[in-house]
Amino acid sequence: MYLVVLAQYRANMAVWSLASILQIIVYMSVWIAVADARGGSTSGYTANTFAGYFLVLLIVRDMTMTWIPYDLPGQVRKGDLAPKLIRPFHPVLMTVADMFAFRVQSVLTVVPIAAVMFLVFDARIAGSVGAVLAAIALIPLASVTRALVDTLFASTSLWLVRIDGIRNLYYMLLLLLGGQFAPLALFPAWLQNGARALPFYWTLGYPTELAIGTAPLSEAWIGALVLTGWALVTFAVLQPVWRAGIRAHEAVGS
Amino acid sequence: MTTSSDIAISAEHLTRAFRVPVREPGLRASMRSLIKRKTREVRAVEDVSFEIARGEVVGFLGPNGAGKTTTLKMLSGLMHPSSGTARVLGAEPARRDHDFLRRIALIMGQRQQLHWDIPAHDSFEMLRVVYGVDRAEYREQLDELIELLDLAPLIDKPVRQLSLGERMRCELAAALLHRPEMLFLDEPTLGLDVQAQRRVREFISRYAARTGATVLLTSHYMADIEALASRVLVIHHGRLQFDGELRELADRTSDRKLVTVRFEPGSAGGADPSVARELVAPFGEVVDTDGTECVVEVARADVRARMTSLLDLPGILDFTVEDEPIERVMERVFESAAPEPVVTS
Amino acid sequence: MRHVFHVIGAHFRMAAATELQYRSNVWTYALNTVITLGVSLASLGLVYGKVNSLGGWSSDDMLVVLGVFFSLGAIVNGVVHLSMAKLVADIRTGDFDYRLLRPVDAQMVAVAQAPDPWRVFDLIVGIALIAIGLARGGFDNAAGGPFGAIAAGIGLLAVGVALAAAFWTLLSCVTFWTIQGEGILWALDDMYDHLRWPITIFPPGLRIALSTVFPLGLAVTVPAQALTGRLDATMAASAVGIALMFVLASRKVWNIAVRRYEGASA
Repeated sequence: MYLVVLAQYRANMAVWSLASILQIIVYMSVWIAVADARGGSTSGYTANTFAGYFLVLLIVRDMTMTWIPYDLPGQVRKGDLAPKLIRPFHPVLMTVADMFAFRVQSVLTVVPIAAVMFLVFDARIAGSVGAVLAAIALIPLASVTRALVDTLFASTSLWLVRIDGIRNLYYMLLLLLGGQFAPLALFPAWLQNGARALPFYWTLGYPTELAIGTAPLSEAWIGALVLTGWALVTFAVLQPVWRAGIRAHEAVGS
Repeated sequence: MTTSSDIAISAEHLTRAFRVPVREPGLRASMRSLIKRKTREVRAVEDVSFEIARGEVVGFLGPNGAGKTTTLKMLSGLMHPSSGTARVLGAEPARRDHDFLRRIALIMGQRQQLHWDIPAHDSFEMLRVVYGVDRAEYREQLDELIELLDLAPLIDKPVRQLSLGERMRCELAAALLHRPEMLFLDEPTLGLDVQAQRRVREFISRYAARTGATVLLTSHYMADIEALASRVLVIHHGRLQFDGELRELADRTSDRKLVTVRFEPGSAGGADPSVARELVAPFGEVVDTDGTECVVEVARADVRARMTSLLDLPGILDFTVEDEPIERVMERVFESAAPEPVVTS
Repeated sequence: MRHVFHVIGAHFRMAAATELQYRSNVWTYALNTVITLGVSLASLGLVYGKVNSLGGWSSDDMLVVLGVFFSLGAIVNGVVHLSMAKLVADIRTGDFDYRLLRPVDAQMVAVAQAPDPWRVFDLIVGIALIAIGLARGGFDNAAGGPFGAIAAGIGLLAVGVALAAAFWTLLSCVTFWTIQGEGILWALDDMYDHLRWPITIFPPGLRIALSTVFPLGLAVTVPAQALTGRLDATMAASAVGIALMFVLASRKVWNIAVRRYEGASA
């Protein structure tokens, strides 16, 4: 039975990884085409550095994302939440545990694939070894922040149950303002500022830019500070919101 | 002598086997099963043959897992037989020809085909389109069914607002909109309360009589079979154990009668049930005591002999002799059949 | 054949009747469409802020691509995907028995049985985008003029629909029977989201993957090519061929899946 469940998980993870890779290649290809059309580079990125950006982003994303916006509403809808609330740990921690397994698998599968694509697309990154290490160091912090933001978002399902619509919106924001569709440098200034004011960029685009050298290593501490700040703020807001949400959920009954 | 056009269903040596995975507990076994799956063959239906004429109402009786639903599925076209042939209304059901499907209907207890969120009326209309029923005919048939099943207050409410019994009545109507000649009913009264069960039985009985439809129903409720079917096929362990009148089955297998003895209220037997039991015990096995009555099981052969002595019991008012309820007969029939044949691979 | 479409039409009417009970949903869905449109246009804006033409496609041509993406998406996500989910649920509960015994092609109905009527917004947006894109950009050198282009576009869109339906049937049957979990289907559903771009701008490897393994990329690109007058005979022919292959394969897999369904229930 356990093995059957494991097999299911494997397949799920495999498909997620595939979807992840597809998305990255699609956007990368679009921007490479743009760079080529502009005679080599645009906004400081060439075809090679675009490739570098997106392939690093692929890894950063897999290492920081969670399935909480899917798992939690699923549990709410099916009425599975009640028994989990009695346990001594928060229900989303189970998803977090899943994510660890996913990340291990990612390292074994997606990283080699990314490495191959690095060669295929002739990617270049300008980050120093120190910068790359700093980026790697930021990842645990970024994933905590991301998990908290995901949970805050997903807690809306405690009231709304079905959040497919706003989840779509949430992921769109993550896409655009997180730096997944394009590096922030390609945005008009006002949009860049807007993106920097939100947590999404700091969990995705920022570590990526740090690793590829477009964000200065000397300012990495600012990045760490911002991530920590967002983590604390989100955590603080989450407490009352979650409590209120549970009450609302219980009021309806499962 | 029935001609071939009079025969609605002809089953010959129907057999259905399933491969069931065998999973032993334990991690080692699970790992092994990933590489090589061990299966065993289960014969759900074994060499079943019978003929059913048009207009007959036939019951398939048997305990759960006996093979009756599997047989029904083979006859309605939901399942291919592993071997043997089935012919229903002149067609091979498993081919699921559209012409064949238009002439039959399947109703399953505890399952529904009506859409949950919309009024039954809308589901009916959809079925009208599916079965290609012409509007005038549909209107006629629907009105008739509404009357027969008392559906008028029900069909404009979303189906989820109906009680189980009400839903079942709507399901019956849904299945009959296209005037099928052949009805397959699989445990139609399952889960219904007593009153709803009665309504369903009455309706099916009346409908069959009115339209001359051939009805095949499976049930493990004796009451369904008793009420509806004159002919019963007993299926147990996948084999056809009996095919004939219900009465005949009961007579053949019941070798005892139930005698209900009534005592005068003032007498010793009437006042104290344990005294009544003692008095009656010599005649047979005491089955029940209730107030001034005491029920005892007496072997059929002994009834005549014992009856005169019974009248000599102190304080006896009267007694009645009845057949065993079919339920108990059936329980014994099922218990006594041969164990399940299992083939391991 | 007509019968099947009548039945599908009846299902659509029923779905509309059901959904219209929940009027509050209108705004959620409309908002969703607007947001998706907004983000799509923003991405286009970002790209075309830097270039005038990408792989030969002007910004107006891209609007047409986006329009096809929305239109096909309305059908793929709004009909096929949900219907497949319902199919899987019916198989689990055993209600699928009823479906099998209806005198109508079970597979074709299964693909379209649970439409989401609000997706009509996506369809409207899609058609509007196509209209605007063509009005601004013109039909270029479409052989057969505007009418030819539109006819070819609609025809190839229909081919795309058939391809998508077959693809999802195949996937649903296979994942249900092998892995017993449909979470995978959502992930694949999300993949559709990244197909707003014509596959001609992609490197060859990706182009082939999006034409064969996940052929929805081809399904979006080819009608857009027809509409904007850059119909590529090879690609169009491949689209038809691949669609045919998937339809036949899905038929075969469907029949196998039904047989397995028979074998699984006693």
